[in-house]
Amino acid sequence: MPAFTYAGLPHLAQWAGLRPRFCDIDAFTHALDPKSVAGAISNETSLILAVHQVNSPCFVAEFEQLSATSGVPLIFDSVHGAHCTYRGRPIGGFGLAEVFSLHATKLLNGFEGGYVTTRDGGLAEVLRRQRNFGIIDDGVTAGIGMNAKLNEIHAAAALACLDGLDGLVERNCARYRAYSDAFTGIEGLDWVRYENNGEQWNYEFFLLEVDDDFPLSRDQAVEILRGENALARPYYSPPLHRSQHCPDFVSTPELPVTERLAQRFIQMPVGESLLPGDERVLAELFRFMRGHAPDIHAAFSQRRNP
Amino acid sequence: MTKRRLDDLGIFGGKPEFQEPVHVGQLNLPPWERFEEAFRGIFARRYFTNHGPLVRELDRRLAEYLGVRNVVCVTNGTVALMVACKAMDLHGEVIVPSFTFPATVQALSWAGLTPVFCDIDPQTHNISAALAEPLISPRTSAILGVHVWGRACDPAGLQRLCNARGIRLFFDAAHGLGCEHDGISLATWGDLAIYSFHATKVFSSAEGGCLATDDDRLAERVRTVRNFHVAETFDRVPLRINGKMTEAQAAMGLLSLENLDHWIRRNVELYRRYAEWDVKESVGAFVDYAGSQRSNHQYCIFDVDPARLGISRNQLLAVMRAENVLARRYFYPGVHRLTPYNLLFPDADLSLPATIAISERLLQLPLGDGIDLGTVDRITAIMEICYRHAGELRVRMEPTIQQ
Repeated sequence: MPAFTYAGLPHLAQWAGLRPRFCDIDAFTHALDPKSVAGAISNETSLILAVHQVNSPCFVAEFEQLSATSGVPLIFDSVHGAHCTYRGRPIGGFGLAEVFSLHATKLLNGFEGGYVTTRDGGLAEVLRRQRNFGIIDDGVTAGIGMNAKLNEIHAAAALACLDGLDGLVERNCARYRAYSDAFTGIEGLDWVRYENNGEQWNYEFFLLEVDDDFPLSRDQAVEILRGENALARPYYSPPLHRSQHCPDFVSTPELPVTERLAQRFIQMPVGESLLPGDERVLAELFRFMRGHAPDIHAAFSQRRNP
Repeated sequence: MTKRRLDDLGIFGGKPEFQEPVHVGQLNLPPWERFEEAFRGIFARRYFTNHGPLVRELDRRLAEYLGVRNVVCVTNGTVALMVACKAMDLHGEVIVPSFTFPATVQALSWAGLTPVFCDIDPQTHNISAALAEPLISPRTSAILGVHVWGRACDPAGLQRLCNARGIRLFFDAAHGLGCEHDGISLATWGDLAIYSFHATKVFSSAEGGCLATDDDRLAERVRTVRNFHVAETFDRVPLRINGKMTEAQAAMGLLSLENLDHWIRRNVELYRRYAEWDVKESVGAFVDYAGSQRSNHQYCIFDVDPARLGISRNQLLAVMRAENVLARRYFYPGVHRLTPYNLLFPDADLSLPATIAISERLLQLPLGDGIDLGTVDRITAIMEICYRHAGELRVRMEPTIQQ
């Protein structure tokens, strides 16, 4: 599994009795690097857990090939790939299964919740009983399951969102374009593009990239934004293998691409509570940072050593 | 038309007593207006999950109701048990009854623990200190007691035992919201107790559950385990999970709390109606699990002694099902007989005689918001036919129904 992803992933592997083994990512797509994974497969490997990024699906074909030759099953964490396509086919139909979230911050808001998609009818049967304690008939179980049932209230919310999905993606796209326009021409800043390559995107995030020639660090910029009540966040930082919140047992390999990228991105505020024009206000804030960098540095250091 | 003869019964071709299935669960709902008002609030705030204002209020209100220092609401009762195991950092073996819902034991398995099945007292349907003590080994890290039907499972005895042996004690009080032992809320016995707010329970948040503890440090660990958020990290814990309750669940829970006393009174009223029939006929089979203790009466448990009723539990169940009464044989056949535990512990039967005997006798009958006194009377009328014509019923059913 990658370390440039959601903090819960290694914990969930551990709950299932598995030990995470982190692999590096591709510098352009930010998705798990098949070469890094191929080098990590041993006779103890039971699963490849690849993660689609918001700006790019995984290397699906490469992983399906690797899974076929190695015999190691392949599952995708597709939380950020909802509504997207890979080579014209919807995310959700690849690997052994794909896993999505219904958390309120996601494309489909079911308060909390999630769903699994699979082409394998037998696996679907197993999943249906596993989510209800493994019960097959009148209290008799086929194995260890759990209570993973989605309740009707959460399902109703997600269904209502599903009906409005196209409009939501259009509004996400409009916000992304407004951000892109507003940030054009600020030296030292770039952003993660949704490529114009015929694939479908959900435009869920606007990920700002802070280059080395921006005069403030990524973390300083985030602090200034949060001081203005713009709840921006460092994107997947620190990476999981460097996080003190990772379970104890995890070894910490060298993941050079992950470590470099984890210092560069800001996840900017998005979603339906962002008002039209907010993107421009935020871009102005960055122009201000650029224009007053020496004073800001002085103020930060004075705060450290008053 | 009231059924009088065996031929009137659905199982022998008569028209089923109920057109729609009658369920055993509570399935209590708040008034629609209150529900709508609560959800308008959620939409106005646009705050859906991640420790929202309603969840925090429910944590507070339940702590008050249960008389305990800390309540932490989570996704459901199973997740509550999984969180409890990691918050207490348990290892090795945990002593647990087999006479419980499978989730009690499955949660231990998810937490990497080995269940050691303890037999029950046939009078209380619960484990006790005397039954658990011989099972303690050097690998035992805790006892997980289950307050079956909300009836306390020897909490004082188990506490003395665990203190003496230096192991942890926690309780599955999934049935026990509003129940007390010796005038003390079940929430405060042991290191921690978990509750379930599943829709079939007297207190419902659609799905849901909580952990309750008087130990503030343990509560911080519980709050840390139940999410992955850096801002909600209060202690170093071995493993974490997304077990957050949502604002939708919390809204349902808060409304449930408003109506809880009403529903408990209703349960008592329905239970007494069943018991009246029982007393009249001297079958003596309705389990008075409350005794002198405060109880929520959310289960109506009928103990079928074939020597007295004349037919077996499974025969009565078959009759009820044919009338569209979805009675249930909780907790049949005992978790130790369910996969995978039957494969892991093939000899467990030998040490669990009371569990096996009781699991073949009990039948859970409908209670809750979906039924009224008239429904109870129609169900006891069916039992009356079974009781009056037990001999003939046995003869007619034996070829098809397992004893």
